[in-house]
Amino acid sequence: MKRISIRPWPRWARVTRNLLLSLLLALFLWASVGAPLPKAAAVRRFERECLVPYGETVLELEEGEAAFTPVCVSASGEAVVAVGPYLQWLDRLEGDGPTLLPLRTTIYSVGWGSILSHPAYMLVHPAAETASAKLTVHNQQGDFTAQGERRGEVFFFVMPDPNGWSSKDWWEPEGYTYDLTCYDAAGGVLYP
Amino acid sequence: MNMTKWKWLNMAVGKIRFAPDRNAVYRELEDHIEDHKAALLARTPSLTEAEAEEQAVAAMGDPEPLAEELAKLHRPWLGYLWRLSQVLLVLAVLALAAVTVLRFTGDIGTRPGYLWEALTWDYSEYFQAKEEVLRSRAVYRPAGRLEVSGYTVSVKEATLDAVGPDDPYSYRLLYLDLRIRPSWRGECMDLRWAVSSVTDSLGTVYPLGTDGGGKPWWGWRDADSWGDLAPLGQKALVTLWYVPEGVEWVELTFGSGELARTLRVDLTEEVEP
Repeated sequence: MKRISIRPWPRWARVTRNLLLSLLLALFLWASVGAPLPKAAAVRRFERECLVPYGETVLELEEGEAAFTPVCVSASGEAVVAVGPYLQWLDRLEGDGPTLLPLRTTIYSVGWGSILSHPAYMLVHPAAETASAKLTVHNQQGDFTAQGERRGEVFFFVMPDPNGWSSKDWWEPEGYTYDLTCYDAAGGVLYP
Repeated sequence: MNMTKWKWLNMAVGKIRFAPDRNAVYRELEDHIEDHKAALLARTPSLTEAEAEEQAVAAMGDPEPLAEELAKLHRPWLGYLWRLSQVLLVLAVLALAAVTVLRFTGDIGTRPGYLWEALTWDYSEYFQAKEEVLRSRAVYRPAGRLEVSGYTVSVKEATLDAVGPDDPYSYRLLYLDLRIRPSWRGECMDLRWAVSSVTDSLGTVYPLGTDGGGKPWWGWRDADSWGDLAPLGQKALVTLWYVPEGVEWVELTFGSGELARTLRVDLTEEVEP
């Protein structure tokens, strides 16, 4: 009977095979856990999936600053997108000019021995001369006022803790109205 | 040259720097010497074990040139890379096993059962007519496809149903069985945000979602909500609610700004279901 001789693969071929298989499996594993990407790349991917133009990063929240951080916000002329762990959303912009948008996560602070949760808003595309801004939000829970803090390319408003939470009162357009005033460096009113 | 077996073997493998290879070659050479020794003893019974071993070692020759050759054949960096590749492969297989278990428990990605449902997707499973009285049905297979930002969107089939009890309580729904081929990146289109407007030939604007009141609106459902199968192609159902009578086409606009593209779905040429 003829003996069949099976030559083992040379070592370099086995190394190559193992590395390629490991890479393939790693790719599959990465896709299985939601294909996580670094912040900036995750924002770009979300913009592609939503078919909006790439924007510029206008705000970044750091780890521990809010629920679901880190969050990265990117704004183009067409839309503002925000991406963080377990959340991503998009707001379409209508026209040029300053636009006030809710931040769909809460900002933490420590007070009275506990963690407080604050709703927050961002003013995107503020006029270049804007030096400060004040926002008052009116909803079912009452009236809340905050001074804007310039962070990156936006003005950031962290509202007082409402001591009770309803996303409808803070995030849904029909849930709230607001008064926004922007000032220049000399204190003159720029907007409205 | 009188050299003990151990000394000869250590000299022969001494330049192999990768320890597993050195040990393997040592054993192989030792087996070779032992085989030769056994053959000598079988052929010449008058030889002692020590003499047979000495002759077997002598027959192997000078260990120095062999050591040089063996060192060239067994490069350490390839040996360490070989070990690393084995470890990586074992880790990857273990991780795959863990992920497979987590898939079945629903902790990661789409459960295998749902993946099968996504693969065998039939949009008619979600028709409202299953819940209400079907008054009329028209089926269309509109031609045409849309290229937008690397995606290719087409409507495989459209079904226009009138459901509900007698007027004025009946209403019409338009179901669009969408097929979306992704770009080379294999990313799933997020229909909730990607569809920027839905209109029809009568000028009706369909907002996303409803707050009640029987006004037109649109909604969507992905066959595979986790997007695991996106690289193979995305299937989705877009439903337009409260479609008025006399609509000849509907338009879906994908994207915004310079990326915006519109897909028109013609509803004038009915086909057999």
